[in-house]
Amino acid sequence: MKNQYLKRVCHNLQQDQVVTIVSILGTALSIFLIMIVVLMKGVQILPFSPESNRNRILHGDCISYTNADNHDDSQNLSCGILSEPTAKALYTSLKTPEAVSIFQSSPEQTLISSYGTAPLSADLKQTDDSFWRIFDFNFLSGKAYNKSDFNSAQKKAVISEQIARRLFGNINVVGRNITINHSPYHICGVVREVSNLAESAYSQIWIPYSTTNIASDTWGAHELGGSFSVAILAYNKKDFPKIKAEFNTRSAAFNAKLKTENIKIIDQENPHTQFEKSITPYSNGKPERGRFYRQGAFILFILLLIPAINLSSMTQSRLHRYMTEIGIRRAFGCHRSQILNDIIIENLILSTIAGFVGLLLCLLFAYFGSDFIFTKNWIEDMGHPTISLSVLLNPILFLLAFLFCFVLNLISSIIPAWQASHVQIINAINGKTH
Amino acid sequence: MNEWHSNAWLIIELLLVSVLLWFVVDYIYFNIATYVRPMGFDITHCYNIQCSKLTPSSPDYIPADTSYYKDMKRITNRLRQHPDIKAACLSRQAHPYSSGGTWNPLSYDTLTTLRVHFCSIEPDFFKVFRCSGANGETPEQLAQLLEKDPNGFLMSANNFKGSGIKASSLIGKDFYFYNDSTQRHQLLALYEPIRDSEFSIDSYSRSMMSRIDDKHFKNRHFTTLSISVRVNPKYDVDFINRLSNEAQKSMRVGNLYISSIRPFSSERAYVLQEYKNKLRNYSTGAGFLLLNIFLGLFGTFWFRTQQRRSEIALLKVIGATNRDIFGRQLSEGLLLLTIASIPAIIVDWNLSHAQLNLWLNDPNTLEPSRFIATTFITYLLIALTIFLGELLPAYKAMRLPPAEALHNE
Amino acid sequence: MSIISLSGIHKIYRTKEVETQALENVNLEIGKGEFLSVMGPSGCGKSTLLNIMGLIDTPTSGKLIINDYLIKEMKDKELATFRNKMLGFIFQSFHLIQSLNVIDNVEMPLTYRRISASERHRLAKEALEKVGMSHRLHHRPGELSGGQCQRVAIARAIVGNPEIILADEPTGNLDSKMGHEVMDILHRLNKEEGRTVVMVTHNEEQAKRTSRIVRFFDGRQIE
Repeated sequence: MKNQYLKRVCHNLQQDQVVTIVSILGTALSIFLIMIVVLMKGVQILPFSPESNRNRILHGDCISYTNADNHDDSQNLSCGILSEPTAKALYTSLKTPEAVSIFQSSPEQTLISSYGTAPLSADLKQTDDSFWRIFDFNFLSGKAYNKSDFNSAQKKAVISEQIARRLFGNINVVGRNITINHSPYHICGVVREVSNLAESAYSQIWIPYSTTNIASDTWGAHELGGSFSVAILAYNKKDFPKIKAEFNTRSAAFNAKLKTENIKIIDQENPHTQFEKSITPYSNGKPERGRFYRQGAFILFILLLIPAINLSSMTQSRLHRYMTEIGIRRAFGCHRSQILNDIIIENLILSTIAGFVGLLLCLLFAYFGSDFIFTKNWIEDMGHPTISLSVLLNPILFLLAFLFCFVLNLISSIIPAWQASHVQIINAINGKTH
Repeated sequence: MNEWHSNAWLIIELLLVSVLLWFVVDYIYFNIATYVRPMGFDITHCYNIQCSKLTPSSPDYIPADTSYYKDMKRITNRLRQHPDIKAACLSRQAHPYSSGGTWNPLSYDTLTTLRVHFCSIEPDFFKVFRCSGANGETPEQLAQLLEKDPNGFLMSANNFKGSGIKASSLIGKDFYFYNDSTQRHQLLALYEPIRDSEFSIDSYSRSMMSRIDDKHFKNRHFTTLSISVRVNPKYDVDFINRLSNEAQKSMRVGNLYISSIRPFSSERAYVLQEYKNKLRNYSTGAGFLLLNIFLGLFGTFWFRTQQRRSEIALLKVIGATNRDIFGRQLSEGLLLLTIASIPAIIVDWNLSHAQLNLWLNDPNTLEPSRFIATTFITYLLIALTIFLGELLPAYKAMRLPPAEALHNE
Repeated sequence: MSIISLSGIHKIYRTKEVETQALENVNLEIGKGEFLSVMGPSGCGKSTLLNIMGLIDTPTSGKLIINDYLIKEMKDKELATFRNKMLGFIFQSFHLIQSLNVIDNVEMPLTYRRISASERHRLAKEALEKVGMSHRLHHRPGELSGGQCQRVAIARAIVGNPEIILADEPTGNLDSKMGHEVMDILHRLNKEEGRTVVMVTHNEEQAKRTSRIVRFFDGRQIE
């Protein structure tokens, strides 16, 4: 049975080369573009080093506050990233998670140098010790600073491979000195270069924030705002509702204290999962699920419907040649539904081949053209949006590509197949299509 | 009958694509039209310099140094003395391509403007960015005005636009800021509007410039300060490296040091990335739509040429030339497009008036001339694609040997 | 006993401008085991009659009963199964499937029944032996002569052991020698295996060898 489909598909390719190739190109193009769009979202959600734990991480990135007597949550007084005391009050005391980390939200450009070298600019991120438990960096030598280093404000630094090579020419630099912002630090570890697609973990140099006075840089009422974000690692993502509930309790208690100053923190459904973070556009916003689904549906609609119209037309043309065969089969006892199935399955074989080509092109394009596709707006760091193989080869992508192939095939084949199977048998035998 | 069916499908596809493509064309048209308008400044040979402060953990830290503003001013003065630098100024969220800023209304008597970008600058700002006055004043003249009257201010000539009042008639009058009527400031002159970026429309480019001072300045505002310099073109070679090296020794004041020197072209690229990404997305969408039309037309007409072999052969036998056959094929596709365009134009007109492309563009600027231009460009693009898609099949039809075709039949 | 019974069969083809009466008030009984020839000039409706009997065309009005089943009341699935089990069609242009080889072509009707692949293969080989084509199992139709193609088509028509064989000008595209061979096969199937054969033909000589001849003119039976 399966042989028969393959035989006919091969025959197709020989007989109607042009129309078949056009069908394949159309499908491949559509799948290519759909998968690029999927990947653009995928890099924000799928796990890769050093954010391999994305499925278990919750983010507390921002805070938004208003007057306590204001009931309109869309009007805020101010919004932005957290101050250290606020982060501690709201998040550090959470009991359910495996780890909670407070770290500088976005890396800052800093001057670094070592003895005898000209200063160079690099991205610096200031973190606590839990940071290294949550994010899985690939240490090429040495290790990260630990809790006691952090508590005693030890001036240790972790640097990236590239920085090590630019400053020292090699990566065996643990123990050597480096000047950061005219302040001396010891290098305690060197890590593999990090893509700036890892928004939370990315930097080129990491130091304990206890060694600077960044924690005292606050803004806003009651010093609610500062320079920090929070990442929470759960033991299991099933713990998420529990963690969110725990956070709400903390938040309510915090608001009770702020009431005396007529301030309250606005509920933004914090902390956010990786997905929710990717659909929250501004620091004063909640995750915009509705907008995401609407936009996604619209894009899919365009990317599937327009090729489907073309493919439908091509399928109709190709079927023209097979009307006689369809008629003969029906004359010898084939049901209409069987004809319908056969056509859809044969087209699915072609679609799958085309889809595979499209997906392959997408992966190649994403790998070599990552700068073009993935450079985000308003990112001022010096990193590159390199995409890791663990994202490109994630089975979810292959499954999605096949799903879209299947859907595209279905919408484009169903009408011609239905029409072809309902032609009067004698007309079909005589090669008429209606 | 079969051709009728496939024609119907083509018309539907052309209709959908026409509607969608129009939005993209309109977006790109609008952005190009905005892009080419004058910026109001010149950033060639200009650099943006940021300073950072030493932390207590640095051996050079001076605990007694508390005024970052004064330190920045001193660094600016030193830069001004530098032989390679033609002009330098300190400013707060004012330089071109700056992100963030405060927006407040300006008031004179009973008149109040819409919110305007409040910029705090040193007078040399005009010299650094070569901004000119609305009445033809040179940058030097504008700087002089602000130098002479530190309490005065200048504003862009497009404030009060559309309100029926000539802004030039307000020169010399006393205004107040932030609705604080106790403090009065005299309007000294108007300057040509300065745009935030190439994609920023006129109505968002309203600004005013007043003298920066340390009265309202708090240390935590430090990160909003920056120094802008214009380098002498003759010496603008490897400027960043040379200045970085010198700065380590000669440009350190108190706890401040120069931490980054970036050409304004980088700042520009940073701000424009968002638009670049959007344009990339929309152009890709347009390309996708057109490619589909191309493939669709190509496949359909290739197949039709095969089906019509005998008809074409007969036409040739009775005297049609190759050009006739070719032209006939092409005109079919264009006819389909024309039929699809009529409902498409109606749909687009209605959608644009329902202001569905408000989220793309500035409202109130869908002039009929823009609509006609964008509709025409859309039609042309699709027509060109149809032409390309039909080219090969039409050529094939043209080359058909009549006897062979009839024999097969 | 009639295996096929047509009463009051009319077939009208309608287009926007023209109405053509292909068959008018046909009443015909065909007995089990008969070898019936249908003759008449071009356009007299004989092929239309065969198509209606073969359930590949529907009459505009009238009653058709095959093997005691009233055809009008049957749905598509029932009709398909009926065609598969009761009928075998042979066309003038053979209509073999070009993308399949000989044995696959003959097996094709059996793929719509629930039997194993080996059983299918066996039955197909048997049918091809009956028509003398068992030596070309893996050839494509494009590699066979006209006579060979028609023999394969006959094998396909009988592989499912149908009671009725409908042949529309089976020798129309063959030379006289091939034509004789094909007719011999048909007679064998009729006499030795008791199958009812209804054949449309132009050839008087061939028709005379059959058990009965009916003649049509302008859609009406005249003899």
